[in-house]
Amino acid sequence: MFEIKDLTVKVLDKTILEDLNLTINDGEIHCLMGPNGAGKSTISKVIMRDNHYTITKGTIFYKNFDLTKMDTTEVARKKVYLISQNPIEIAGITNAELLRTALSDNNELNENILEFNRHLKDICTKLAIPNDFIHRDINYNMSGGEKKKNELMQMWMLKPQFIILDEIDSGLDVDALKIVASSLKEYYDEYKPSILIITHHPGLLEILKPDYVHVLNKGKIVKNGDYSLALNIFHDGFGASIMSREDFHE
Amino acid sequence: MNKIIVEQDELDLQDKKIKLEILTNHTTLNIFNENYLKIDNLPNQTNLTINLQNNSFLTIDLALSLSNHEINIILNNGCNSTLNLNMATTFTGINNLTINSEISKDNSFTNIRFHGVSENGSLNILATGKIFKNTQHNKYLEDISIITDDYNCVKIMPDLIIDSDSVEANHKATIAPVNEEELFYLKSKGLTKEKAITLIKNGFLNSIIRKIDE
Repeated sequence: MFEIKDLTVKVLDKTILEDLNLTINDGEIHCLMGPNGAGKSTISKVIMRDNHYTITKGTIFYKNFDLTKMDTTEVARKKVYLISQNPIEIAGITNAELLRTALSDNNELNENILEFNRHLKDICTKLAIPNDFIHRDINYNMSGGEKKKNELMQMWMLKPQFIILDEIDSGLDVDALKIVASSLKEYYDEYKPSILIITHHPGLLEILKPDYVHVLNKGKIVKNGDYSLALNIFHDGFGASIMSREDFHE
Repeated sequence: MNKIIVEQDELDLQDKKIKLEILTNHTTLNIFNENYLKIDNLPNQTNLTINLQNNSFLTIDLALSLSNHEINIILNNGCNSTLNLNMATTFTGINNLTINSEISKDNSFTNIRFHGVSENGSLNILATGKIFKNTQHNKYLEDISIITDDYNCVKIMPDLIIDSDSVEANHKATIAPVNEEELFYLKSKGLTKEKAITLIKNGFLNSIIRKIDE
């Protein structure tokens, strides 16, 4: 189980999240929505223990471990995985180097180099990307869609159990979105991870249907519901679906 | 890749793809046609002059571990010539590097990239691009980037002296610690901070030189 309890987060002196509570049971898919600047991406960074964000109150428990007491490496090794909306490019480090190092450091490298490459090639085929992605520098000179697929390639190798998708659907064309969403659905069906989706668009949710939907505004969750809440928001907007427009942070 | 051991003061190179092992303190390379050179080591006191002849092309990759080095490089471009100088270095001890690029002909392209990683050393770089009067259609790019935690130990003095109205010139110098976003990204994949820093530094060096072995 993943549980955020009474979480308050500041950046410098500004409060970004305040008394936030969120529980995600194993295998559940949750969707977090909200207007720009509501604090959605902050949640993903705080879970991954980005030290630019200061937790002033509250806890984040995952499988009985308090993530607020851990650093980013330890959180990742608890099988928590973030795909951000604009993954950074790192020239000079290949995907293969990264993955072999990550798996080896966590004592999970059970394949020899040939099996490892064959495994990655199978994933490339699944994601409709060329095999040379394996030896390309991390997200370097890739389009927005290629970066998201690249992150998914890593996900399939690292096998996370809690996945945060921070606007993974932004900037994807129709075909790329279908491949990304289908790959995530396939991963979900195989490994049953918990997933927290942050999105503004319906496409991903049509394939990866959330069990619960939460609306975040001004650092607080202001509404909870099921998939129908997301559909209402896509149709009518935040103001009409939740409260008057002027109450929303822009 | 074949290797040439350079023991003489002057060497003509034409259509070569080779490693050079330079043993002398003063070396002049005259470049004809299209060449690719890799250098892994230089004497502590090195004066290296590279003369690109007209219509020549050279990519030269230097992967160096500097340790109390004093290196002076002089670059002379001929007409319609292209020079890519890539330097990836780690450095310990006290080091001085001078690069003087003299553009006195027309239609040349000079692209200098330097990536350095400090290993508790100091480094002074004086990089001067001089574009002579009455020259035309030259292009000069210079990018010097260094990863270090100690800003006091690194000094970069990029200098452009332009006497021509017909040139495209650009220079950039960066001194910074390991990029925090890159560090966070690699840690978020499960790498320790130490392993991530090692990968980032190696990647920073490899990003400009590794094509050598391909």
